Amino acid sequence: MNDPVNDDSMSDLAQHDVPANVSADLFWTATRYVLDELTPAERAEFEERLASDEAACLAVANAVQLTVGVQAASERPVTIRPVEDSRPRRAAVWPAWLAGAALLAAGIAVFTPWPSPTLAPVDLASAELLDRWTQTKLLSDADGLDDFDPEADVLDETLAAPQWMVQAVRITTNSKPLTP
Amino acid sequence: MTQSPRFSPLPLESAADSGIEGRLSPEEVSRAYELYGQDLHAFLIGVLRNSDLAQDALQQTFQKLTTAGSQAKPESLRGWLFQVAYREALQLRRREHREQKHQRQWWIGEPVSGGESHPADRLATQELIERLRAAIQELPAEQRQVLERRIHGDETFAEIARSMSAPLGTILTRMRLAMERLRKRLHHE
Repeated sequence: MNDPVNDDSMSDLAQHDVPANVSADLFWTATRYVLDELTPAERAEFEERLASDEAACLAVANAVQLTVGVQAASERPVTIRPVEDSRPRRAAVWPAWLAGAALLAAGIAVFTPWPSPTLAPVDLASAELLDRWTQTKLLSDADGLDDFDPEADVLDETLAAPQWMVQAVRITTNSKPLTP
Repeated sequence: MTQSPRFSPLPLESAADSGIEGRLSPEEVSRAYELYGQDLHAFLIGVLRNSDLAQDALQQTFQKLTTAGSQAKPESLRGWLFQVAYREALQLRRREHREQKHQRQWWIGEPVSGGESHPADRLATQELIERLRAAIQELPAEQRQVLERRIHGDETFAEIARSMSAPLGTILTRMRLAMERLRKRLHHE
């Protein structure tokens, strides 16, 4: 019996395959399908097409590969997490504000080359360190929160921010116009 | 040839040796896996939205190829595999619905078991990721923003439109243009 598969070299299959034309419209529909952005009717119609349309199947495969690739390519080395607001409000206000200000300053310092000899640009890694410091300090100093005096002019040494953090805060209070 | 820890052909004798009609040799099945496994795997993930189920469906698809692959014409083997894969996916999905399991997992190429992973296993190779990273940076800012928010941030298009105070159609257009530019950029390199 003539075996059409065994008679041909498998290495020639890729050449023998009829290329499936994935049009821009088809690829877009497949992308929306993969992202679950089709209406139920559109989804049903597209899945019916998948049963017999090789191009549609290939479009789905391409959409998944591209989507996964974009997700991986967009992975940022640092993620800034908001400070959990589970502590007494008065104690949580300034660390969160400080963290936000430092993040803002970090972003500005990275993308706006200020000729400031007194301040080194704060990178995103430092912003993450700030975030971690903030959370670590608040968690480790939980016993001291009841003693926190928001009216105090000078912060207690145990809660004093590192020098680079203080400098970052000063940037945001500077009236110098900021341009991205 | 490196065997994938995720998929191994059934230890069958070749069709010629066994005299069993319709069977392919393990070498032929493995070769087909090398050629089409990656696309099939990606396709199954797109349909099933679950990497474990996709792997099951992929395994069953190639088992079908082993037992009935001679039914497929060489020039249409990929289409045949897609059809089989899709039927397997639907069966698994119906079974999952009956068992009321809901999971969402995206697998980006990390091998599950130890040892060498087969190239066809990887949905997104490091090379692809690096090329995409560069291509994404070249997108217009508004397209990049929508792309990253939809895929990385996992907001829906409607949510993005609301938060950006932009028409939904505008958001969809930006996403579509972004994806098309990335796709063309990758295919032309």
